[in-house]
Amino acid sequence: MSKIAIVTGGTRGIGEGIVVKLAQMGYNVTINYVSDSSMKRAENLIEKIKNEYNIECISFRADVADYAACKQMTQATIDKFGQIDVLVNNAGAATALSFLELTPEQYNRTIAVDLLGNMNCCHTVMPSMVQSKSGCIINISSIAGQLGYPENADYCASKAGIHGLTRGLAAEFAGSNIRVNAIAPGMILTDLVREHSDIASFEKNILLKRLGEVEDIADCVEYIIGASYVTGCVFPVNGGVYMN
Amino acid sequence: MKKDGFAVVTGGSRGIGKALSIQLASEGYNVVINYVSEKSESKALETIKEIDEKFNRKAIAVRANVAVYEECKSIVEQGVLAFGDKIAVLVNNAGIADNISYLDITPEQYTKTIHNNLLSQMHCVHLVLPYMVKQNYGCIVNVSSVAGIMGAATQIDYSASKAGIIGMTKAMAKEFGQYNISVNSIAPGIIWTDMVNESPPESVAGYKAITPLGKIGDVKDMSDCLSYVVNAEFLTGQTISPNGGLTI
Repeated sequence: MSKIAIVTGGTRGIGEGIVVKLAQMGYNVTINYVSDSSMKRAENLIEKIKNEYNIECISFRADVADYAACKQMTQATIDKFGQIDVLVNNAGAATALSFLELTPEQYNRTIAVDLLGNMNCCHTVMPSMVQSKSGCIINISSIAGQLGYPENADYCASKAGIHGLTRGLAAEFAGSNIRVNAIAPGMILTDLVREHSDIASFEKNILLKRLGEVEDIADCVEYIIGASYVTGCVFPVNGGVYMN
Repeated sequence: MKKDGFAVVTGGSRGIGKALSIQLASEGYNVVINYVSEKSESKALETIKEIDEKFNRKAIAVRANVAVYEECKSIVEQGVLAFGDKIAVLVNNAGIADNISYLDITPEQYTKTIHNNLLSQMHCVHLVLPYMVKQNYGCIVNVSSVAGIMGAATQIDYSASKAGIIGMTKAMAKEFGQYNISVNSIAPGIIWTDMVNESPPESVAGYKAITPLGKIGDVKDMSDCLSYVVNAEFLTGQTISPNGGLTI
């Protein structure tokens, strides 16, 4: 029987890597995006993977900070595919501003997208996972949730919050055979990072002397989906920068 | 050693907050005690009286819903009006908790928890920070919880907010260290307060059973911890958890 996944923020970077991995594993996928530019990316990605992996895909535009939109996305997935086996909460936002410059509106938005958005998606899929007595939720947080970084107070707060959410949900829904884990990526080489960062200086400070690839995160997603005795864990995938 | 300036304690009229307010007064601080409900007002006034009689310090009570940035502003403004423009210590203690399965909780309820527990702390820091930067010193203490460290079923929103506080604390410590501002978090285990008193006895017995020290904490365990943190000149970015061994 087919397996179904939802990936938020699934059209580029880590999200895209996870969508491709899930397609390789035989999942039908709902790919969530939020911006105009991502709509075209979603269409191209769907074209590429549905033929290569013989699976079905839909894209769904939703701002995860908007509960009603998350609900519609979950419903559209159930209408199209009948169930939800895996939810990957990958959508996120960051500001990278000094706390003195950051406005309340800006840090409210970071919390709304990164933490509340994650809670919204979990909340909308949970009833169907409880009903099927099965489910796997993977929350993509960040090394920023484990270490503090200056000029990222809001991002660090939201990503650490995801760890608390992960453990609380794992504790509450283990009885329904629903596992909830988080992956805390370190520096991952994506287009965004390539454009904005001094790669060489980052590599110097990483024990494994390289930035991560999206495949490193996608591999971890694949492991977690199959790891039936693992729940409530935060997996640091960071080349050794921080050890749990 | 006591620093120049006054202290702010959000949610400072009862329970843990009251003990923290009194501890700071005993160490020489004038205190702004924030509260939000009507029934807390009389408690706040009692605490003010106690502070005056026992320690010859001044305290004021400021009503504000810390989830609202504009209301947090009034806490700081009234403190400055009463005590001058040096703020030595901020204790972010205000918070709410409930016990609702994630299947039953509404988005409005969990959003409110995140606003009251996490965003509120960001608001208060955001408002005191310019003062502390100008002074080139300050001490920020964010009250988290073991729920943020280990996750609590039927308290998903609370766990998320309390874990968020820990992440925020680390980042702020890294960013504000250059201004000689320390930022730490205290994550209590189960402490005997009205909130706990109202819980079912089975859950209290349950906690004792899984706590290595076999007991529920006292507000003094929190005020002792605060005293250490406020006076610890080389401590920042840390989460200290007085919890009887509940999380190790």
